[in-house]
Amino acid sequence: MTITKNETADTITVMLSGRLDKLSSPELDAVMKEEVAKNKNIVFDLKDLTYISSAGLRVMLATEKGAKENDKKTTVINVNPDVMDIFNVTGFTYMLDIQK
Amino acid sequence: MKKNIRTFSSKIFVAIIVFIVVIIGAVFAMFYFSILKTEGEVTTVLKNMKSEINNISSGSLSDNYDEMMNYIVDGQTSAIEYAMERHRSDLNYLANVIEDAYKIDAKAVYPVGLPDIKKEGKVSAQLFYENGVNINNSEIQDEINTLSVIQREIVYSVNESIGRPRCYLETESGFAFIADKTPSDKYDEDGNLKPIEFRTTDWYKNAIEADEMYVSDIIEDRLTGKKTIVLSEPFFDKTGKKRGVVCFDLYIDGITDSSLAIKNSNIYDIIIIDRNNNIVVNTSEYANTDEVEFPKIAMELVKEAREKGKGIKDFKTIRNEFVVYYNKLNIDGWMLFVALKYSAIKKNVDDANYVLDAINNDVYQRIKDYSNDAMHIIIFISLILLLLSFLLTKFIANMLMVPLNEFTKSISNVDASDLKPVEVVDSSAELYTLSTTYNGMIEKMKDYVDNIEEITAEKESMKTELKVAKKIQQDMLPKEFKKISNRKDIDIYGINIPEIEVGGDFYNYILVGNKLILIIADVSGSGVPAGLFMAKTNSLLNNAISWTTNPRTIVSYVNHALNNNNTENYFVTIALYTIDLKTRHVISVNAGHEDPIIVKNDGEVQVYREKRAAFIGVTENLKFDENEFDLEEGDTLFLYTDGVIEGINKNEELYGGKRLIDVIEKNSNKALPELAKAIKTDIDEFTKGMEQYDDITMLALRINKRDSNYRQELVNQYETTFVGSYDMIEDIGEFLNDKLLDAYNGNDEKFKKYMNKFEVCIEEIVVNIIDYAYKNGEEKIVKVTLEVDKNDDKVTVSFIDNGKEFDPTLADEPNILKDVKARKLGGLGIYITRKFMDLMNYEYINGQNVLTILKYL
Repeated sequence: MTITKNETADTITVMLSGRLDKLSSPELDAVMKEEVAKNKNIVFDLKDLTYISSAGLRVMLATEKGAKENDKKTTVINVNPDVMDIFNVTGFTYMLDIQK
Repeated sequence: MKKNIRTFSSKIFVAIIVFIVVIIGAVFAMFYFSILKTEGEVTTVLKNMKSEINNISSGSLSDNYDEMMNYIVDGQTSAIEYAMERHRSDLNYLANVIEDAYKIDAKAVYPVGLPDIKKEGKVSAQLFYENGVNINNSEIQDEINTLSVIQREIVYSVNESIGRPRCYLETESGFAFIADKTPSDKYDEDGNLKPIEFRTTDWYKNAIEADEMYVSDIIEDRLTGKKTIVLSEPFFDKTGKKRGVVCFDLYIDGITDSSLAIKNSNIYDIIIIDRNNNIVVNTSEYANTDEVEFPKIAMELVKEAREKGKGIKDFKTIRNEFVVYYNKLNIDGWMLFVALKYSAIKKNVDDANYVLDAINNDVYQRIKDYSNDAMHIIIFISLILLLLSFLLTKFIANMLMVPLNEFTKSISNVDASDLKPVEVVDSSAELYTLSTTYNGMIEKMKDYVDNIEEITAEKESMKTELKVAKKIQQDMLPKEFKKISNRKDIDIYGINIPEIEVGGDFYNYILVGNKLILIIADVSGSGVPAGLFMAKTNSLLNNAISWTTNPRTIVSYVNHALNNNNTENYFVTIALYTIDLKTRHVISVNAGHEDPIIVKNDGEVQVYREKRAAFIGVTENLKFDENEFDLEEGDTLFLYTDGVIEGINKNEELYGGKRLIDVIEKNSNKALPELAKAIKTDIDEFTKGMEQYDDITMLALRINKRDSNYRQELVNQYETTFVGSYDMIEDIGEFLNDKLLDAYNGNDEKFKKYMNKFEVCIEEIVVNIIDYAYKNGEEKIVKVTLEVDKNDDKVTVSFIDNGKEFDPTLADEPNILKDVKARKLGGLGIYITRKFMDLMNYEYINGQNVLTILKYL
């Protein structure tokens, strides 16, 4: 998995590509902890993310929680259908602000 | 309207007139006939009396005298026999009490003692014994003690009866108790007890020998000189041995006081003799003179009387002529004679003749005159009454009808669209009440018209709410039979038809891993309350099933939970079946519910008799036995509630289990929805014309036979073992992809769209194994078996590891609707797997964790 960041004055966009699984999620977790600390809105761009498991969901949930404590928004964009399946069955569609 | 009123008023008039005329007529007729009757009776009586008198004077006795004499004979007989019977029954009672005392071997605290002069004047029980009897002998002492328990009874029997001065209790052993008022006469001048011999007396010997009650000859009472008889009866101990006699002294005048009262009658005398022809009673004025000593001069009469028992005989003495009526008394040879004096009758006849002549000449004529006068007066009064009542009737009818007509006129103007009160025109109380009642009614009618629309609206809304409640309730029952039937190995179908909008029956089925749980239940009662209780029960069941599939645990938990706050005491009959779909082994618990019906694959229908507990919800102390049985391919398990078999037809016959089995037998080869429909149709036909009586609920499960064109060669099996860490996840994914390609001959069309789901599930399962089953540093080995069944495109993957026992399916289901902040991290993996796969099942076999997932492509 590769992680690409794009930071503006009030938003950090995190682009993920490849597989977000048990092996790769600790890396993202570390990155996101830093980003959340910057106290900005966060956008996950999942255009090239082909796979996500519960380990990945956990990181996204932790991010959302962290941002919310700072009164910042977390938005998810460009979700691929397989990943959307997971969001749907786990109820993440209710928790994350997913833009179509 | 007016015409009717007139008719009514004239009806009253006619009715009253007719009524009065009838009464006057009746009174008149009554008087007239009673006068005629009196005249006739007086004439007849006079004639009869005359002829009777003539008859008597011509020498034979009239019927009137005969009647009187018979009356006297019967009256005397029953008075004497009754007096005697009273003594007999008292004596018999004492004999029984004595025998009871022997029977229970009673012992008195204070035995009867020797005569005590201090008790003179009061009745007391006193001990006696014959010469030569040693009362200090222990056996005699025992008997004295035993018999002493009735000392109160013998004292009482003397105290409470007039004409009975003494009661004796005399034993074969030689001692006796005597109850009387005079202890002093038992001692001689020197103060020694007088000698006594009772076992030789005739009343003692006769009673002992005859074994029955005995009446003695007449004796003279030694204290009072009165004529006395002794009544005696033997008694026995518990072995039947005769032990003695109990007896009463009885004064003759006490028994015959009714006869003695007749003394010195001018008309008749009474004579009673005993079995030895001794005089008991003689009321004749010459009783004490020798010349008329009755039995002596009347031996022939006495002889005939003793032979015939009852009869009449003429009898002549120097002084008089008699007609003697005699009767045998029920006392040991006693005879009663009533002798009518002929001279007395003759004198009466002469007197009567004189009076009758006077009546004939004078009184009879006077009665005739009086009756004529009375008749005239009655006719005159009747005419006046008739005239008065005519006038009165006309007056009353007018008084009633005029104001009523006016009232009717005023209320005839009122109609439904214009409800107004009437004015009260008449001041009489009845009409005033009528007017105000009428006005009150008009007011209520107005209110009613106003309210009726509101009520109708409320009713409508209630109906709608009931419909919604029905919908909500029906939604609780699972309906997506197809979804489970996708499995192809089973079919399932359920139906619930509530009696009214909402009901207390329900069914449910839940698939947990490889286990299918079927539930059928019936809440007591029906309607909304039962429906609410059903909803509570259903959610408790769902709750329990989320952590166990064990029928006993589930039902126990629900029973426990229902018992809390079940103040209305609703109860539930429930049957719960957990079916292992792999082995088709069934474990069930039945709490007061109908036994299930099993349709075997050869069409045979059988009722499976289950061990049953009582219904749940009202007591904690229930033991739920588990039933276990196996189903085979093609078998159908049919569950139902009592509403199915308790329908009633017009002849009040019950639908019954037999009919249900018949209809199932006939339709056993049909698909489940058609089978249920056939049953429902059969019930409907049976109960035609009757209302549905209870909720009707059925739930059926069929284990499908394998397709006949199922081919084993279309099943591919693979197996590989992976060693390492999280990196094995991708390897297993590749293994799965490769083998599926192999099984489907290089064509990924069938499974491609599921690959991402498979990958996610593989990751979640393997992560669980590595993180929880294996310890840190332990070598992680996961064996993966894959079965691809192309008959129905079923993919089964098993993950087998040697780690410690760990069941991931027991993990709490995360609440996916929880707010982000409240939501825990974790618990999601197994949840995702369950959602993505058609089945997830965990088993611990031979020290290995085996987690199996299954997906129909």
